[in-house]
Amino acid sequence: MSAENGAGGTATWLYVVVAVAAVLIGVLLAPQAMRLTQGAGQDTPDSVAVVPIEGPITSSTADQINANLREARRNDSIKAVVLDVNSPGGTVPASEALYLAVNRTTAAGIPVVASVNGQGASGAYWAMMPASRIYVTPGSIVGSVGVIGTKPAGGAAGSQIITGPDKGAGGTEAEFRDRVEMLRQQFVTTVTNERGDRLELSRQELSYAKVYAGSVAQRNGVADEIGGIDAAIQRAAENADLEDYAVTRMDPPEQPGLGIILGSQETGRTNDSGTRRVVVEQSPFDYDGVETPHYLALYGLPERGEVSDDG
Amino acid sequence: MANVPKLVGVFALVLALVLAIAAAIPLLASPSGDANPRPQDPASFEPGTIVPQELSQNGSVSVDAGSDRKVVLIDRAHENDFDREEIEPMVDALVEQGYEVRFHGGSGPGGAPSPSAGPGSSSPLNQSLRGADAFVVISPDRPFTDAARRGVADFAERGGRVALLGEPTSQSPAIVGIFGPAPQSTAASQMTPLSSRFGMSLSTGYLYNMHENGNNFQNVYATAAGDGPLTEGVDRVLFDRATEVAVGGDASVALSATDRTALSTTRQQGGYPVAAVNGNVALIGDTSFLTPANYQYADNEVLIGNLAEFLVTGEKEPKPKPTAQRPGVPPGAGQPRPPSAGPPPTNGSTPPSTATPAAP
Repeated sequence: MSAENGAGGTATWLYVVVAVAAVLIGVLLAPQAMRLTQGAGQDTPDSVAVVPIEGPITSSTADQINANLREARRNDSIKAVVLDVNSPGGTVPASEALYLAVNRTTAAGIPVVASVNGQGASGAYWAMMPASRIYVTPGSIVGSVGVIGTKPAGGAAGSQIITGPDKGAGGTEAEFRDRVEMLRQQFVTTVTNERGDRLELSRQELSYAKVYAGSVAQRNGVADEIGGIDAAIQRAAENADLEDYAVTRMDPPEQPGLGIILGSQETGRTNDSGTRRVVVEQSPFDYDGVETPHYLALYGLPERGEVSDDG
Repeated sequence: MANVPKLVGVFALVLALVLAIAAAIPLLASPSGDANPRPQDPASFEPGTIVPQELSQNGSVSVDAGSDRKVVLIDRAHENDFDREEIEPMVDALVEQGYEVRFHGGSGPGGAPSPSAGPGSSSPLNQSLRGADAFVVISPDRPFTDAARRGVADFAERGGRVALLGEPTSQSPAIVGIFGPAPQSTAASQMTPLSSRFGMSLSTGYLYNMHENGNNFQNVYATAAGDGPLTEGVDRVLFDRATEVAVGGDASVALSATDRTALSTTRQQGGYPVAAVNGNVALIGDTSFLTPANYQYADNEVLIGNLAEFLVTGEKEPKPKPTAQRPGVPPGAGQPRPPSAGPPPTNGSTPPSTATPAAP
């Protein structure tokens, strides 16, 4: 009886020892097993995502670009991001939102490199500030660090009744001026902080809101390198220590059609050089007969709600 | 003795189970949110970094002058680009001190010219000037006739005080309205043909300062230059979109823009004069400091008080008899007098264009 018990106890112990040994060996081998399945749930191997920033930056296009950047942060196969920029900027709130989205992407440890293809001015330049490098071509345009404020005339007209003196315009002329000044300081501070020592322009020189051709921008530190999108992709891959990688081009932001117009872009050939007219912003709260203030980080001067710029 | 195959089986089973769990973890843990989200607080979004300093507004306009009865005439007949409420602080201060303020040709909102304004010596302006002790011209968009210019020069020669205030004529790029740039006069200023008789003129560009300004590059500060009737008690004033005053002849600079102020047309930095005085005539390259919205910035209210005192402290001599020789123009006047000057009064509303010097 006791001999049987002793034999049974020894057998149980043996099973336990074997199981523990199996667990220990399994734990040792677990990383290899995890690595085997690491990419199995994803479509592609390590990749560099190209996120287009095209056309006027409005709340709608910024949302779409933000969604692309969010996807880049979620998707483990995306190891680096290249911003493919061709935009004259847009509204200040949308540009800020884009800046924060790019900033969040770099904060998540994903290298971001910007490539300006055409123009990366004002709000578009603002948005690409967190990028570690800015690639430009000699003829591309960057800069325009400044803000345009437009405001309604204010006051009550005709049979309107307003409940306070600033209900119409939202504030006095001085307050409006100070608000625009605050936005300028925010923009200039962002650029000087993010560009750091690379920038050879003073705050005052930046505040002129000039645009610079790529070759000039590379010299004065508004941009970093002369090169196209492929050079930018290569740099982004190097920053992410990628040797073998795929390039994933994300969808460009769609300019909404009629109905909820938030921005549109059309090209008309009025002369040899061509003139582009950009409808900047009709916010969701804008409708016929109602003027609302706008703060634009845009290269070009609004003309009757539109922006004309050569290019 | 334990069954060896059973032991191997248990070992394999447990090992497979552990490895299977390990392999499944990456598949199960598909990301559902931001990878590695971190709080963001970019320094450039900190209010303390970017909210501009609020400009203080205080003080009131005081006019400390004699109690003589004086009449200040304000021109409205030359499409002067201002509204009555924009000069209220100065007008109120004058009226409170018992001085009379009249408007010449202010029949319409834009200061419609009198239909009988002609190049004759008996033009309505000259008639109005006879009853006035001081004359104020603000941003005229319509040229003064040759007779009117002579009349103003004569008025100043006899001791009447003249204040000329103008704005830059180039378009402002700073703030645009919702439906495009704010309506501004695109016509060249008509001030210089008048002010140049007194050795002073206005530039067309605007002054700006990227280094020290009143929360906008076009809000420039100006400081007193020397002792003059306009600068007593003035440390510095704030002008919203001023223009340069060119000073020659006997005129002297009263106010100069602060260092590193630049002119929009040349982009050159310099100590640009923005106000000048020549005897009984003062020229200021800004009108915004008169407005209710701006008159309390810096020492603007002191400047307005000084300007008002300048206007009412002149001692105008009575006009000589009509047959007497007309007094000459002051030194420095370079306006050639057309040979046809002084034709009989006509009913034409505009003078011959050849008699109107072109503005710069």
